[in-house]
This record gives sequence, structure tokens and C-alpha cells, in this order.
Amino acid sequence: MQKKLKNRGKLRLWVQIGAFAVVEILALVKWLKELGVSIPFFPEISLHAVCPFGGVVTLYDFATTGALLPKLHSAALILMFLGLFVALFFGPLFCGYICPLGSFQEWIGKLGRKLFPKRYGKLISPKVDRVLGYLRYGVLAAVVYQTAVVGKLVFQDVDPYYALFNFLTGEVAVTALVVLLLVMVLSLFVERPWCRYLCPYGALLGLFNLIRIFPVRRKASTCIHCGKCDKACPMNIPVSQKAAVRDPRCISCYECVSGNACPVNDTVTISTSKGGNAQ
Amino acid sequence: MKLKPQTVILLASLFVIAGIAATMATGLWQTESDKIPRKLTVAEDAENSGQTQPTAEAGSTAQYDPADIRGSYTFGEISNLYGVPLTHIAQAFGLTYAQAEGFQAKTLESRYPDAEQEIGTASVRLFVADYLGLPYTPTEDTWLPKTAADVLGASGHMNADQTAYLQTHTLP
Repeated sequence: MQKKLKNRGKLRLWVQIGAFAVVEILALVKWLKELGVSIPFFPEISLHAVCPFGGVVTLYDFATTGALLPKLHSAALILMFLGLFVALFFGPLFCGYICPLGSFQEWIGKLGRKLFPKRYGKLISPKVDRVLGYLRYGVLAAVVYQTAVVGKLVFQDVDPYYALFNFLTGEVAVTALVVLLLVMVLSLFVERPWCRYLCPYGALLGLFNLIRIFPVRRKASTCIHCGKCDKACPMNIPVSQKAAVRDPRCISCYECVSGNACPVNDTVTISTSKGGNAQ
Repeated sequence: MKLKPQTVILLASLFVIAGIAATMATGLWQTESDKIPRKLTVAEDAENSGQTQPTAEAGSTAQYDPADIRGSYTFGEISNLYGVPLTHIAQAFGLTYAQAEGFQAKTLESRYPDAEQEIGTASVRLFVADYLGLPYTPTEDTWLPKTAADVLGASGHMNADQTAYLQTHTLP
């Protein structure tokens, strides 16, 4: 039984590693192609083509001119719609399981926990953390507006995700590299700092937590108030104080649910309101 | 209704895979440029200015829009699409004919690392527009090297505005 639970907890890690590897391979194949080296059987796809946030920022252009922004292709738009549809049911699953930048920060965070055990997670007070969390909505609005005005991918110049996977190409702006470096350093002290405070795509997906069909729910009648769900949450959401997690910061990692952090069966679950967990 | 995390992942994966497969099957899924630029069309009110003033519009039957030249286009492709002789594009940006054929517009910047102003894809758009005498409003401060200005001076079809712009936007 214990082994089964352990394996369940590792599911997310394996999905994260897989997603990270796919993006890394795409970036490497593209880079090698630029150098004149073709890798057989691997498609040459630019990261812009498979970035769902590209779909978000090109929506204005698509709606007004029928064309996508330079460097973007229909795949980005399709992935955006698929991602939003999934979020409608399960919340920002993309953030918790797929986003390679999120995973990258999480892995650095594990190192940070070991290097700075007393400071990790305590650099920013919960109050300030909550206020800073609203910054990402400002970033989302600014990026969408600026992209619509300028007509090109303005976010690329500060995007740590683009910098992380393209730094070999020499096409990455210095500002993006600086942001990536700052995110890496901060990740040693703060869990997922980019996701928490600045990620515009996370901001958009996070809103779906308010309406998602399958939120994380806590059954008060069986809850033993051990607080393990709170400790497991990478976004500092007080799960133990909620009947249903509708917090926009939730990344649908499911670390808190029964079988992962929660030691009591059928207490913190992923369910609809008719699932019997409503308080 | 309750779901386990594994079930959620499975359902979400199946949905995304099915979505991608369906859009692939219907030809909607594209991960690379089809390298067909947007076209220009002649505006109906052109007679007001006394000359035809094409404007950008997808799907029309006129000349391709220089503004839609992508960084991934090679000079060979630009030559084929826009009808600008490859020899002239090569000459404009200091390349041999053989080099120019597969030279991507986005790599132009690396040929002018010490230039005071950026010479890149936007410069290629400007060059093609000026060469063909087509309208193009640079989105940034776009510059051309002197070699390109020389080619335009000899073979281009610039109007007065384009000539004036080039006089102040040519690198020595």
C-alpha cells in the first residue's frame, strides 16, 4: 500500500520530466537545424509554435486581421484553446504538470531547501506574498496590450521560458537572460517565484480555479487538521481552512490530496460539488 | 463525482491528444510557416490620391505584402515569392549568389554586428518594398546598408516618400 502511494506521488514528477524533455528536444533539434545539422525522425518545430501563451497574445491580431503574429502558427492557438478547456474542468493542470519553467523552478527549489533550510519559503511574508500575487494580472494585461499595439512578440524579450530553452541560439535578449537568472536565484528561496508573481499565462489559467468543475475539496467530517495539505501546497494555499480550493493561485498539482499529502482516505479529493464532499 | 489525480491526467492527456489529432486530420494544425505571405489589394479609394495605393489584405489576388516577410524566409524564397532578382538581393546585403539562396532573413543581423543601427528582417522588408515600389510602413526605425541603397538607386521603383526616407536611413 505504501509503495502504491509513493508511486502515485511520483506520477507528477515523471510527467514533468517528460514535458521538460520534449521541449528541450524540440529546442535542441531546432538549434541544430540552424547549424545545418538535421536529426532524422525528429520534427523541426519552433517553441513558439507549441507555446499556448502565444495563442493568447495573438488573439487580438487574429480577431482583427485574421492573421497570426510573426513566428506563431495555428498550433499555438489550438493548444491555447485545448488548455483553456482542460482548465475549465481541472484548473491550471498545465502549470502543475506540464510547464517546463515551473518544473525547473521547482527542482531548483528542492536544492534551495537543502542549501538554505531555514530561509527557504520564509523570505517573503504571507501578506506580501499575497499582494505580490496580483502582479501577474498586471503583467498579463500589459503583455496582451503591448503585443496588440506593436504587432510582435514583445514578451519574448523578458520571457525566462524562452531564455531557458533558447540561450544556445544567441537569439535571446539580454533582458530575458537576466530575468531567467533572477528567477533561478529566487527559486532557491521562494517556491516557483515566476509562477507566483509574474507569469501571465498562469494568471489567466488561475482564474479558471474560480469556476472549474473539478476543484480540490476537503471533507471536514473526516479531516484530522494535521495541516499536511497546507505544507504540501507549493503556492501556500491554506487548504485545511477551505471546503473547496477556489484560490486563483492553485496550480492543480494535487500534492495536497488524499494519497499524496493527506493521510486520511477520501478527505482531500478532486470532485464535483455533488461528490459528497460539499460542506 | 470524484476523480483520482491519475484519472485527471489520463483524461486531460486524452483530450489534448485527441484535439491535436483532430486538428491535424483537418489540416488546421500547423507548426511551421506555409511560406505564403499575405497579399496586398488595391484600395477602392485609391483614385483620390491619383495612383493605386495597395493595402494589406489576406486572400486577395495582388502582390505579396513585403510587411509579411518572415525571418525564416530565405533570400531564395523571397526572390521567388516577390519577384526580386536574387542577384540584387545578394548584392544589396553583401552576399554571393550561392550564399544568398539559403540565407535566412533573420540571420542578417549577425552579418552587421558592428552596425550603429540594426540591419535585420525589417531591413529586408524595406528593401523589397522599395525595390518594387510597394507601400511599407516600417514598424521601427528601419535602416538599410549603403549597398542596398545603391541597388535601389539603380534598379528600385521607389516613390518620393520612400526615396526621402532612405536618404536619412542609410548606413554609411
